[in-house]
Amino acid sequence: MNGVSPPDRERFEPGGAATTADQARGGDSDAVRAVRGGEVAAFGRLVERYQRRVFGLSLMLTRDPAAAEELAQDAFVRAFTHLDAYDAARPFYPWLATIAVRLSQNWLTQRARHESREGQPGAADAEAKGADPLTLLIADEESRRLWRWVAALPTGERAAAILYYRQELTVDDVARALGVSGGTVKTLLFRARRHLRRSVGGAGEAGDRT
Amino acid sequence: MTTDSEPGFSRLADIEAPSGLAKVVVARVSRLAEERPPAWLATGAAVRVSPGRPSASPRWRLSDVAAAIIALAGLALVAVAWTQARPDATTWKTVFFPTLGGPFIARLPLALPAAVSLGLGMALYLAGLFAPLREHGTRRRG
Repeated sequence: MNGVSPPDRERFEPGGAATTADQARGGDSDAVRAVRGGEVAAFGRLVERYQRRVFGLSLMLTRDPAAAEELAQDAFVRAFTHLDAYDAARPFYPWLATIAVRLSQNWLTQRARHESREGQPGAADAEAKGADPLTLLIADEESRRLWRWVAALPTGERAAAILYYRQELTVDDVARALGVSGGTVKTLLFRARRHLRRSVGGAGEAGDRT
Repeated sequence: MTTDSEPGFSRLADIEAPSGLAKVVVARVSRLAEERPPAWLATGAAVRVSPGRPSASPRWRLSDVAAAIIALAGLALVAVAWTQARPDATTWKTVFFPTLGGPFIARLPLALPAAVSLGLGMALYLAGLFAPLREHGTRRRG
């Protein structure tokens, strides 16, 4: 371990998140209780609330919009079928994110296996050819560039950074979602920050030169 | 373009989910609930809220209550018969079962109605008591 202190989320996500999170948690509990009581339609409230986050997470992990959409659907369906395994004392989204991460990891493993067998080009090759999936999904140029830097991180760092910084999960929840220890998550976050600083710094230097 | 050294995640725009995602998921879930409902939904019982915590409280049915009453009545009859008859060797019948591979001797209490009532009641009570376990096992196998 490299003695990294826990990253200070407040520097990146200032104010107001706790109240919103508490409200969401209350709404989630009500929806889960209703679904468990047989009101299946109440599951739609959870889907509406989290579809963007689950899709964004799947997209960042797979870098393939079509696969991300399918995986997001599967994550919700799997959450529904295994709703009895959800601990209602804990927030709902980290549990859902864990499912989405596992499905995405499985997809990445299968794709890597398929590519090594068939020798077909992957997402990285597609990006190299200019077919960047983010171009279609994010209109703002600066956001797109930021997302692209995040997407360029190694898989573990990318997943940890998205879950911790963007989706505001705790280190413990990120560790549970990725199936690693809290110390490993801190290391992944440290490395992700270092990589992103280099990317941002490199872009700044390039901008200064032009 | 800013060149601050922090990741700057707060400046990232949200990626919109595909427009039909929620509808497709709700449709899939609804179809699933109708065609192949998950076990927790099919039973309608309280579900596990925490690992290791007991899942559902036992439910008493009418047959359980009836069985309990019969068993208690049988127990009362046995108690009365026992105290009033003061059983000794003459109050028991000795029965031979030669088909069981020898002179198998069983001794039956004279208070036969009480014994039958007690046995029947206990059997019904135990059947009711273990019925949820049997149903659960059948569902898991099915």
